[in-house]
Amino acid sequence: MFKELGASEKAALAFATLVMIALILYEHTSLIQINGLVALILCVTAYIPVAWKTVLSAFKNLILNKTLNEQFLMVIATIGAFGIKDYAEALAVMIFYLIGESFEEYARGKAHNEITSLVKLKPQTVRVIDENGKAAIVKPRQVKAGQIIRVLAGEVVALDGELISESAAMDTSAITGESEPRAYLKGEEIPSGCVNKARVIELKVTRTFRNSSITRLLNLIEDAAASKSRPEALIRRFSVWYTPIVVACAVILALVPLFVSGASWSDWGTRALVFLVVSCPCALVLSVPLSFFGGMGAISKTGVMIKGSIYLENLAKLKALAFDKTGTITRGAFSVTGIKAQEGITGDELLSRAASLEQESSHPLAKAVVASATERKLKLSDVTDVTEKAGLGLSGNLDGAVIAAGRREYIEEICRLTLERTDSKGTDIFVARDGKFAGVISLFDKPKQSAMPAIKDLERMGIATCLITGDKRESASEVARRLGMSEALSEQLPEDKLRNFESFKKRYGISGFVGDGINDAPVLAASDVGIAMGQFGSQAAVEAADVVVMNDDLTRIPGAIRLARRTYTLALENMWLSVGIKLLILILGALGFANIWLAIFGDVGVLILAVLNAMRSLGFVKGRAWSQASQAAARA
Amino acid sequence: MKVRCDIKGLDCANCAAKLERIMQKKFNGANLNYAMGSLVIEVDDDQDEEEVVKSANKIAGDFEDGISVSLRD
Repeated sequence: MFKELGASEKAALAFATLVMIALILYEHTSLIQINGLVALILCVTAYIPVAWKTVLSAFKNLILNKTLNEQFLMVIATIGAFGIKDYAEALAVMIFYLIGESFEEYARGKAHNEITSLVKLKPQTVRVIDENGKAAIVKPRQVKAGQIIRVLAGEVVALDGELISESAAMDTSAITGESEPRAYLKGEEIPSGCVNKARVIELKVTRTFRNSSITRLLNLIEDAAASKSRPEALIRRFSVWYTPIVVACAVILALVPLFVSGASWSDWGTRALVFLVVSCPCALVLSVPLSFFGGMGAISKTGVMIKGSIYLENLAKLKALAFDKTGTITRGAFSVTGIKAQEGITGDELLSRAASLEQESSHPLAKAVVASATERKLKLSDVTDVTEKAGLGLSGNLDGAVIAAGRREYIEEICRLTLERTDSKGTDIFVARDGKFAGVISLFDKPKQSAMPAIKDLERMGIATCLITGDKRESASEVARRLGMSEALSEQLPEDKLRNFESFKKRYGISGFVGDGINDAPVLAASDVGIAMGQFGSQAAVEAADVVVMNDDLTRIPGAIRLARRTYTLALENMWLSVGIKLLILILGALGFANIWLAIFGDVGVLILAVLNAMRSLGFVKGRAWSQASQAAARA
Repeated sequence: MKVRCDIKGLDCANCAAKLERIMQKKFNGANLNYAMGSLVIEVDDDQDEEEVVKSANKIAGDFEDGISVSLRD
């Protein structure tokens, strides 16, 4: 715990502690009988070695910068204690002040190491391979894009790069929270921060260190402190005023005997000293941000990055969560769920014709039709004279007939008739042949596997879930019903989305929005917490949202909310603990019931208690165990 | 532009908060993270990083003895 204390400082501290104990015995018992002057000399001999640095720095600061700092207040407190002949107390104030300081240092180091496993993953060196195949070890920031680097088994990838070796198995757990190693093939980009689990691999660097994934993520964590939660903002304002007010009170208390006859100097001096000793709001200023910071670090271990403690607070208080459909709840990959062919044509024929035509389009629906036809081993033919009407459909010549496929309106126009409204739950592609309606192919975008347990979990936690989508009502309500969501808003244009989300927010209170981070920027921005589902490395997702889920697993969201709630409770606990005890001691002190020992407890004791309590948040998530356990729990 | 630095020698969280307020007044923005020992300074894009670190160091030194700011590797 006293890592940064040198041997001489430790010796001084130990000696001072011994003297302090002796003085306590002298003052309160008859075990030690010494002359008062001897006691003073003993006390000063112990005081000088422990305190000289603090005293020096306090006066230096006073003279050079003309400011009063904590050190100066502590020095005044000890001198005051000497003045009223509380020798043991004088030593104690200084001893515990130093212990408190070194404890803060310890907490800082601990937090720094543990807050995120990412920090450890920031590699210090890279193995660069030149044209002759020679390896040279350099600093990551010296490597340029296009250079080749070699990563040995067990090493961390320092820079984003394209895989040159045939294949690689990488541990992405530090970034995504995913415990299974991920396989990469030649040509794929491996993000920095991954650990090489298997053979030696070589990468062609695609981004410099400054722009690489790991650096961007570390920056994200660092910048997170800028958007502060309400308790933190409150503490900041509180701490600015706390010290001057408490010190002013101390001065007033010390001067009371001047104006009130019969008031004793030593009694009122003690009251003033109590105020001075608890004048530092350190417990508060350190423990509350540390709780949040530790919580964010713990959540980051599950593959969820939070870009500021205000968002952690909002997550903890979340009342409702709206989801974008395509790409978020669903995979965004359609599959054919039904074919309704008119008389004179079989389902397979209809699909094969439509697929032949759709080969010419890059629309996701078209691709799904082609994939389905290929799956059924249907023969696809070449289509000539293809014309595409954007957003409606396309037509072309197939074996001497004109085939058209697309939206209802498109086919209705070609066939000059009004088609019956179908009750299909998905998206329909209408097909016509030589101007005659030939049939309908229905496609459905299946929800992700993680969607159901995630939604169930959220609803169980009392968070209302809602689907917001541009899709038609039938398919939206089908998805919402299947997953058990509270609400579904369908056929939403982008501007409707925003307006409806605002009214949604009014109804429920603090609301979040989950999107893929690309299309939903306005809604993400309007929400109290914008959550983006983004594969690790997607810059758009990282920038657009307040919270980034580093993989596609929706169950990470309820998991993160749970951790956010624990963290927030912890932070509030610490705030009330520190403020409560300090105020209590101040009141008791003013009334003359608190002595300096109690004040020391209120200063250093509370600091240590609050910080130890705050550091519990660092251990909320232990290694990788979390993701498996919580996923199992969510599915059960 | 953000200049990312390491900061060493801070005594306590409260001093860190005070120093952060001073830095915020001197630059476009500043963000001192006591737990991470990091200082992120926001300046105009045309500023020289070395100069920014130098003046940050000066401010830190004036604030209290033994605090040093250095550019992140």
